[in-house]
Amino acid sequence: MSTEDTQNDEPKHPYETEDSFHPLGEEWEDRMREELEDTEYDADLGMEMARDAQRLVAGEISEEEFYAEYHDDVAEEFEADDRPLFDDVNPANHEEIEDGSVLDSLAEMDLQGEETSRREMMKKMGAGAAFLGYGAYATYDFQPADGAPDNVSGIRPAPKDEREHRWGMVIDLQRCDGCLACVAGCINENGTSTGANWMYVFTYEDEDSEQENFLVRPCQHCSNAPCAKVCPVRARHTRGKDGLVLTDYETCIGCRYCQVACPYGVNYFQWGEPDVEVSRLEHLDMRPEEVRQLEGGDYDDRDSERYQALSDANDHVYDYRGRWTDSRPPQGTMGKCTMCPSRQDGHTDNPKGTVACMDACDAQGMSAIHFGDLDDPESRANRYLERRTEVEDTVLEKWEGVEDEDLDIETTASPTSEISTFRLLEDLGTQPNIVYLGNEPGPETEQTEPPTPYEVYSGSGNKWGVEVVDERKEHLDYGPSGPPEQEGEEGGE
Amino acid sequence: MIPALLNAALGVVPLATKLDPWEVMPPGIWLIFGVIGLPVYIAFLGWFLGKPRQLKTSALGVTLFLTLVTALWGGLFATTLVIRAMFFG
Amino acid sequence: MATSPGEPEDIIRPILNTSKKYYIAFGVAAAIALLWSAVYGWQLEEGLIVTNLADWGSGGGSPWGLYIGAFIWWVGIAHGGIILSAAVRLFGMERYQPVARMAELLTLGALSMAGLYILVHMGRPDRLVLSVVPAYPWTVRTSPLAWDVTVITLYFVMTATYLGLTIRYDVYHLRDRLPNYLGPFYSLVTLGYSEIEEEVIERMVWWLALGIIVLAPLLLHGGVIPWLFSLVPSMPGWDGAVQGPQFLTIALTSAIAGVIILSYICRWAYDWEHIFSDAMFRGLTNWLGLFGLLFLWLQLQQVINGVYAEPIAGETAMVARITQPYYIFAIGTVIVILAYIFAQAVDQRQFSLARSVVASVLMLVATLTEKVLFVFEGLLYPHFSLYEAVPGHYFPSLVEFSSLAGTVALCTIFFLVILKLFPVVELHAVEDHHDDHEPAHDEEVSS
Repeated sequence: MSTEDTQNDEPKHPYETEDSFHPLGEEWEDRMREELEDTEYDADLGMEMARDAQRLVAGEISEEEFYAEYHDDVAEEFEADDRPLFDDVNPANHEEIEDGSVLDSLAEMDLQGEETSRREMMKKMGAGAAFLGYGAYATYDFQPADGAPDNVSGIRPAPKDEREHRWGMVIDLQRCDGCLACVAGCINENGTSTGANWMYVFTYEDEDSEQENFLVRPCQHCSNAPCAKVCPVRARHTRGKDGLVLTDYETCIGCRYCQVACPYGVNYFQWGEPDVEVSRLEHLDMRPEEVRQLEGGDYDDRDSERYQALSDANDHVYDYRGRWTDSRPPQGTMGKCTMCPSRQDGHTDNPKGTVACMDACDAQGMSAIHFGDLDDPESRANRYLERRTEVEDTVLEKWEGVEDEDLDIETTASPTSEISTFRLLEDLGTQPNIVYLGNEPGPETEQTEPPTPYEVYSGSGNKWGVEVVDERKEHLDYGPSGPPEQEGEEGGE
Repeated sequence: MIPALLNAALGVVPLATKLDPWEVMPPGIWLIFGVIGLPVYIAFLGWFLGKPRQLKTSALGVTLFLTLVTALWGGLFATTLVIRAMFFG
Repeated sequence: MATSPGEPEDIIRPILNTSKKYYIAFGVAAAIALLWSAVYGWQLEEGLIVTNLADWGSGGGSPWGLYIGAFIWWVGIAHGGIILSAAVRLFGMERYQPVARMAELLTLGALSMAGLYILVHMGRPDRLVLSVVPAYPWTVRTSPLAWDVTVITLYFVMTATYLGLTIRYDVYHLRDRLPNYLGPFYSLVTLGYSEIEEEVIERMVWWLALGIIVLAPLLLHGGVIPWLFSLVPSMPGWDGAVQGPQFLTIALTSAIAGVIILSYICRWAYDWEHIFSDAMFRGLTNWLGLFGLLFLWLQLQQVINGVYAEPIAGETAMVARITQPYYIFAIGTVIVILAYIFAQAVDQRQFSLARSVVASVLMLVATLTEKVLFVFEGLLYPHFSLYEAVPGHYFPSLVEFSSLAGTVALCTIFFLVILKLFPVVELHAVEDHHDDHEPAHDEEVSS
């Protein structure tokens, strides 16, 4: 797939095809329908919502439209008092549906018979939050008095009472079927180069079972990130206000120490010229230093000059500090999953509290990925975690998903819970902010061929027409004159 | 009297503490300025306090030291600017 | 074996006379260096994609490789200066005095090459100063790479200061025999010289040597460089506090090998048999053996720990290492070299200068192999064992290999230029010598 084709001819979004909204075609759609039909809920409604959710993601319809379309149907289908969330959502109030609560409901379709009342849940959470509130991280966010942004790069999030969020994910591995929609969603959002799968899905088998298992692996956005600690220039840093671990592409020197220090292997260096030119990414027609010079505001300050400029442009490259941290990196610098900071800063048309992989997963009807503020007991991530790990005699400790660094507790939920939770390589002290539901891969597991090959999303399978591969090394070995090359012109630098 | 005092003092010595060394001081601070700096401090102290000593010669040594640091990083800076102009302009 | 002490004329001969050999050496080195700079230019243009490096993890590659391995190797060689200076200044082993300054110059040359490798390794070298310096007050708290830059800078500057102070004496006393066209340079290095300073300078460089002997081996190669690896939580192959001593022994081994080769070349080129005596080379060979033995000993510590009862990840990494043909080659080479050194220590007739030089060259090949292997093998066996199904592989590209030739050539040019500027053998070494003590030192070294 050469990019020339896609440039001349506006690439068709895979979700736009009428016959089948799934990029993998009808077969997949049928399989999904079957799965939906196994639930007690209306499969047609589910499929229709999924299709429209894809349109929502693609920006063809607004959330209001989406909501208005389905509110009544959904309320009827799921009975309002069992699903209190829907009652709380006021269609006119954009802020409240921002966190994807509508899409969220899709995710919970297979969770039947959850009896806990909302009030009870809230009570527990309040107590949990108070208990955990002491949790203060050592922070290296220095606050220079000269008006410089007070939340410049640190190596850990600010203490709980000083930060706004702690973004993270709850990933339900039992819901994942390895369709790689999240991988494609991420590529579409960020324009990453071939093989730089910021979102990666392992397919693996255990020694003594034939069962196919999946491990969805975005960046873990650790609260004690080894990559940020070792960076010699503070390009890799943790945003104090919300715990996102980002790379400032303007200061990164490309030493790759972050990549070496990260135990999860989530970093992808830009070895050569990026496959997608920066001019093709949604952004302001400004140089990075000009963006930084715009009068900026605090986190969530929506009146500042910079915020206005960025949101007018539906920018997907700069964060609220005016630093170039989003989308794929330029040549010679390090990239990795960002958890979409321009979305979290509210610049883009996509709502705050969502990430591209989750949207894609939801649109697929899988809803295995639940992004949200792990500090906030009401976030989609925590609500989902709560439901899935529900046990009869709830104990405070199970809210370790909210904040666990001060509690000496097991990560695995109590034995009476239906499903175990874990965080990857937690022993290493990285304090990852991705909580997994399902089985942790043991030491004897072995990676196997994925049911959906990565190559399926190559070419017309993604927005940019780039090649998608599993193992990047072979692709890189072509060298600079290899097949998938672009015609020069790296903009923005 | 003294044993009693000692006993009391021992009582307040925590036998085990939950101390995060990172909270007290990040390792680089004591490592670089406390340990790795030592040889440099020793050499400089030796120059100025050791015998035989001649202030002019010690000053010469310090000047040389500082000039070399500046030249090293200045030269490096110039090199990077050339690289920028040629390849990243 | 008694050697005549050598005369001041001997040590200024390289400055005054330029032989055909010199021109050939310069021409060849310059050609190689130019060729490599073109290759590096290509790398800057295209990006690091011209190397065989790639992302570890799902990418199936190794993000660090020959460049980092060679960086460590050059820093290791740079330790020659301090070993020899310390031997002479602090421990009074004056037999090595003739070669001390060359070793110090080797320190500067080798450290410069190591610094160059930092630049070559980076994706955006143009930002090295502008990104590193402003962030330093923060990065010094936590980043081993920031510590590295600090210690390398200190080592370089202290050694250069040391040299700057010691050549004053030589240049001042030899000034009337040195060429006039370098007059301004000589005036600069002897600025404010007075004969009463000689004693003071002597003491100052003693203090400097004391500082460097702590700084370089213990804190640089036994400290911040191994910490680059052992402090990260990701790779079991890099784990363990043994990395400090291990790195140090490899550094010292490389350093002695470098000094032997360099002094042999100068002896051959300038007929300095009487200054760089066979006895001196025998002593250096014995030191090479001692450090090589320590190198092997610490490898043994790691291997036995790795294969006996290490957690799975560590065992996997160790088994992979000891079955790697390049590892077997490196360790095997060291064993063969040690066999020679042991033989010549027991029976002096086994010693020959040529054999010691070959042993030194092989030793440098072995340490370079071990270093590069350590870097990328570590990266191929992470704690996160799921990635093992994406077996990483790495073999340096021609671009990377060419950097070795390029840096050796640059280091050669550095020496060729220095040879024309000031004596590479200290004037003290030919003025007063202590041949009488030699047998005693000999015993001490070879035992």
